[in-house]
Amino acid sequence: MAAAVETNLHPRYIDVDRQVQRAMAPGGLTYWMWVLFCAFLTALGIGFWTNQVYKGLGVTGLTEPTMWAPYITNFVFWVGIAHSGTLISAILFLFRVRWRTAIYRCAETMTVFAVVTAGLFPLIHLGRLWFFYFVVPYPNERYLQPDFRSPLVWDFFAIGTYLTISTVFLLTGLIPDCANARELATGWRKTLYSIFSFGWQGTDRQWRNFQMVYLLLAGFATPLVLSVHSVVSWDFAMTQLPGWHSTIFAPYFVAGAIFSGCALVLTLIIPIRKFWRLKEMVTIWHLDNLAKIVLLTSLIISYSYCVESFMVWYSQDPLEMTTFHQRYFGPQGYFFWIMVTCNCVIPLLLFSPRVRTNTVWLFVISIFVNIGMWLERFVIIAGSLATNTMPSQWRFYTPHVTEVVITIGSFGWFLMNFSLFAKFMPIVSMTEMKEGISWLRQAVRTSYPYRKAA
Amino acid sequence: MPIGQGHSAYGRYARNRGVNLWSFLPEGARSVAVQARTTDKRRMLVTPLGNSDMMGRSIIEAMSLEELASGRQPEIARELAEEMPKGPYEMYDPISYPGHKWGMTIDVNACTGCSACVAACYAENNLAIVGRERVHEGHIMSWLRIESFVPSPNEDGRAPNLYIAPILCQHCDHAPCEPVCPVFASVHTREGLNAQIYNRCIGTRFCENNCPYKVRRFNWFAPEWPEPMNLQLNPDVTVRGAGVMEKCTFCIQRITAAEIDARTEERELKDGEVITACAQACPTRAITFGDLNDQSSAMVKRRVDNRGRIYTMLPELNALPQITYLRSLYRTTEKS
Amino acid sequence: MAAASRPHELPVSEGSMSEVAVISTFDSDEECAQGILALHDARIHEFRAFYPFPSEKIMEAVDHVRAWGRSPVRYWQLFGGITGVLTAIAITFGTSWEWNLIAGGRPIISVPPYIIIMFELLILIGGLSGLTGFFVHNRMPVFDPLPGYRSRFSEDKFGLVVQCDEGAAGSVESVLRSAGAEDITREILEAATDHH
Repeated sequence: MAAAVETNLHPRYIDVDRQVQRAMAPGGLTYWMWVLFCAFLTALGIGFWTNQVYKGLGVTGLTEPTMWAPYITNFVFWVGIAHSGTLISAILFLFRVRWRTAIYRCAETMTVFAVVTAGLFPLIHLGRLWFFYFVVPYPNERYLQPDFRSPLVWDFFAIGTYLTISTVFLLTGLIPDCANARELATGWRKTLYSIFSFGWQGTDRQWRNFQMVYLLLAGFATPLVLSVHSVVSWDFAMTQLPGWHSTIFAPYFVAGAIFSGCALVLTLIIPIRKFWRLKEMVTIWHLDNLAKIVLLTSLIISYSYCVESFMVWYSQDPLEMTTFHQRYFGPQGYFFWIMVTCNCVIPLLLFSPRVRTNTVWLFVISIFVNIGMWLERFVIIAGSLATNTMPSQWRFYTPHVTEVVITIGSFGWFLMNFSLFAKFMPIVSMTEMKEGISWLRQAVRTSYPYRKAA
Repeated sequence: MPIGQGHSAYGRYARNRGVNLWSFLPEGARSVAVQARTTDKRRMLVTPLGNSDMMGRSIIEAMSLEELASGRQPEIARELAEEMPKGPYEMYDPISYPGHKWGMTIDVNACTGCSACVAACYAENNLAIVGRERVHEGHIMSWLRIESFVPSPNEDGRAPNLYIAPILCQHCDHAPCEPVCPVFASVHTREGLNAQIYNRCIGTRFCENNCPYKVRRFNWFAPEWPEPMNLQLNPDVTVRGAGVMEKCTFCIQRITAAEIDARTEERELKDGEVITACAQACPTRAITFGDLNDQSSAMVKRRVDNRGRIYTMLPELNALPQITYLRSLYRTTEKS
Repeated sequence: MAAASRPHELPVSEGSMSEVAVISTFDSDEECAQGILALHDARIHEFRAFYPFPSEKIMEAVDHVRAWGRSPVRYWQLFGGITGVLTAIAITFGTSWEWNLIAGGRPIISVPPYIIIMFELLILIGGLSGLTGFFVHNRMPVFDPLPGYRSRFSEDKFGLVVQCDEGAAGSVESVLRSAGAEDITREILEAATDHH
């Protein structure tokens, strides 16, 4: 049976503060060893990136015709992860879904750092990255402006907007929480939280303006979830390459984004709630609901794979049929089948309530989901490029050390930033937890029928 | 066996490259018996070629003499004609090119695959020579390549022994590479050329992803010209740095030089005054370069005279390439 | 905002009486809401409420006694969004018209991709304007805290602060105590402060 639910059915406001304060207590040896490990991976990644900038992109495994493989896969992967954080914090807010309160801060943090990580990759993959600013429409004497027809310029605007709005959304939501933390802290932490709370005192006027701006930002962030990943998917769909030129890409990628992002939220929050003893606030019920979203989006992805295959077969277009035949049964076909196992088959386990309420299972499944989703982007990007319209230019991509290390370094960078933020800032929103306390008591009692009564 | 290497009379730079097979033949003989044995030495066979099966795509086409005589289009063209929409298919207003509009006609039948055009292009445009290992990795820099495809088994008897053609940038009117470049490094000139602006290129490589003919090349490293290659660089053409895309420019330096001469002399450009390096070097005159707007140019005449043989590569993608190919001809052989 | 309408029932006497802030602490939001209604019944309309989370009960009570109207931040967001769309139109149409390069046989001014840019700048500039409006209307960052604020009002207690003359403080205290305040203190204010 699932682990005994440690839900206090009569929490007090001060309990919320105490638990989150405990999570923000100065980190022990294990914590700092973990952060140092992530920093080491980041440093390795930066080192290899510097080498790549110095020597040229030839140090990677990229060649004609697979000119985009690992870096753009990482880019799409991280942007996708970012989207479900905004879904949880903004879209579920608009729908007044209650179980979002305990996890949305963690998800929103994941979003911001995932977008930061994602934003690095268009720079990493540039041949002359010191000229990246050519993509920005800045006034200059030579009338040099970017081409707005190019999906990469749309990317720049979309990712830039998304990063700004997510950060604004996160920091705005943090203001009352930092005021709370400010009162509980001493020393340099008090100064830190004072800065981030901007002197918040919780007066009536402040709260009303806050509610309005939070609602409006959530309303503005919602279409961003749908549009930004659609724009990223159009990097591929707006080309003529068979395997990329498909109208299904926008919804397909958005569903995949939610899928991988919710899985990563599970991967991040399960250790957090275990090691920082937040089990009373982030309950099995929350994880259960997240798992249901993972399951739903997994089914959508499975359906998308079937639809894509069906459309290719139905069109009888020889270019498309060859590309997809190579994708499924070609020399790199094993990537496709591993992806199908990780994305379509393994998440079916989530139909079982026993699996959904078992944190070990959830953690393992979420890791597989992210492996599968990374491979999905890789299969689409590198696979379609390898088997393109000109057969004499077919060449399959093999990774070299540089891209492997940079990919691992990006994970290290993300986890380092996330861990530091989670320790020094409230990773569970104290304000909203208190707001939901009375409702929480009632909900946990009535809508969680398969938990043994406490 | 390939011949043409192992020179001994061209000085120090030509020595010790390959072996001259003719030196095995006794005086006056046309053949000699040799004994071959395996050694422990291993040498990697390097080719830039990926897949040699054309898979029924309209890349290099051929037609039989009977089809040419009767005026019938080959099967591949007929199938494609059924798929394509009837009549002009344009979403946008066509852009007019009132001055010159440069194009090329390539006679696949005349091409022997000698690669003189490739060598000429390398020499004219300061292409980087990357070495065996990097060609094996796929970093070859050729703007113009001799494509060779083996006929599929189901084409037995109804195809030439080998499909060979030079493939270079098609300078498409609807160039797929142009609208995807974020910084306008890949643009169309008012003379119909697809221009690559090296200084503007930031190396996103989106253009090559979208090129259906895969003619663009990326400078993975900064190109180097060790002694004495640096002595043969063309001063009219810039040298590209690392991180920049490049491709065939229809020898724009020659076009511009001729246009400047014509302007200073206050006359029109004559047909044949501008000739690209590849057209100049071709021994069979398979490549003809000229002005599409000049109906009397040799290039246009070649298309008109060989109307039954013209085709463009991958027409279903509607890239509207400016290079028209003339189909290779074969004699149908009946295989029992 | 507050200067326009200020029904003020307490006697304001010039002279030697100083202004005090009566600070009451409540344990739950229901009690704080009751306190607000009790103050309203006692014809005391000038008060300041501090609460650690946006409590609907307290906000309803405040709505009952005082017409706030909806937050003006939404206008900032609206006009910011419109500005964003217009900026995008200016950048995209303007640069294409000025630097008319042919790319891919498409029209020089190709509108469909510009719609994406318009949408993104709508969201970006709208969001940033809303944030600016939020800071402006909240007068944040706050360097001089409002009198009556106690740190527990950001943790788990609800506060109701009334600024009045020393003489009237007693009646205010009794009103608050009867509404269920668990703790009431007074704080002497040095200078006249702006009612918020």
